[in-house]
Amino acid sequence: MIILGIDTSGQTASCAVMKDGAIIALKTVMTKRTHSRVILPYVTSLMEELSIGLEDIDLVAVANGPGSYTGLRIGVSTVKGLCYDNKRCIGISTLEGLAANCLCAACRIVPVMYARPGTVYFGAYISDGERLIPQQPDRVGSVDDLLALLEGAQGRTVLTGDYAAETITRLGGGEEVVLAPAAARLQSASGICQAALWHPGEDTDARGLFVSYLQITKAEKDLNDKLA
Amino acid sequence: MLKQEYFTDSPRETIELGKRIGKRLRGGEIIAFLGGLGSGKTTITRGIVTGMGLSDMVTSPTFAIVNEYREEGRLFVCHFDMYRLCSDELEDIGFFDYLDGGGVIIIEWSENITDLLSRLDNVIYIEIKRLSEDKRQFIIEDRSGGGRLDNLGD
Repeated sequence: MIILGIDTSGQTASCAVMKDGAIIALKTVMTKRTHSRVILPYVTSLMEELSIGLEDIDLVAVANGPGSYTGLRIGVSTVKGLCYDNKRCIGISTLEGLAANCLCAACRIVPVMYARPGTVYFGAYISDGERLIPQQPDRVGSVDDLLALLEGAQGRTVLTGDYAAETITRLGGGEEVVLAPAAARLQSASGICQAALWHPGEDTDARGLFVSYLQITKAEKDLNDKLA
Repeated sequence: MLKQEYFTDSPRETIELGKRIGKRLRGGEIIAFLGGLGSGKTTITRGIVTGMGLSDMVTSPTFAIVNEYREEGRLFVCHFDMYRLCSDELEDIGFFDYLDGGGVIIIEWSENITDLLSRLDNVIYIEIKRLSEDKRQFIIEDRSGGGRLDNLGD
């Protein structure tokens, strides 16, 4: 099975091709250029290098949240377009993708992403070295909420994501917390491809793919109030 | 925090003041205007953008919400008008993605999002008072602590 993975949820624009469980191509660039301008050329260049076409891709996996409002929409729209002609796709949590890149740590993995001043996105996953089990749902919360999760916890925790380094400076020091290495700390489509393997049967067509912001937008709030 | 005051007697002088401000900007600054209809926010913005070396036409973003002025190899500007928005709606326009973009952010009708702005630590407030049809008073309060806009008269 060949999976194309895309992650434009943060500062990096990333795409990867996974074949039978192995990453055979990966391109991740921390680019100042808008992701909408670069992501399709990146995907095309990878496929050209591999001498494959879109028809060879069985599944397209995309980081569908949380993350940058614009970045997520770019990724999901791009994938909807790629899958327009009845190709299967799947939305993967950005946080799960981050944790997947630290899979071999075989302990608790807490991915943390900056959201707003004083607000972060975070999750908690337990890794046994081969797969991840979510310990709680991905959530948005204050930095204090995150510290409460980490302080006084038993066992080792690996922190990853763009806010991981900052989080460590806020901790008391008694916790067994390890910072993921810089090489594995930011979004990479390889983690998205890996995580896609753990969600068999959850793929959908282009119409069924949605962004999962974790922050409810005002438009949604107004609609919910109207319907209530 | 020291406030600085400047006075202008015409739109042309307002633009000149804007140019002096624009020349001092390095990227990442958030300039929040306080001032009502006709106070000269877009006029001084025209000066700021020109002072930064950009030749894009500056227009009021009241309906577009945000205008971007860009030129290859130069700092860019995202020019917002919050007249039609409130803090809750900032998420829906992807406002927070702009904050880390590296450009200069200029906000008209910043009064509508004061609670959000008060949580940021790099905002430069420029209050504009209309003294007469042509005369304006500009009160600059740089809360970013950068001191970049000190002594604009020099």
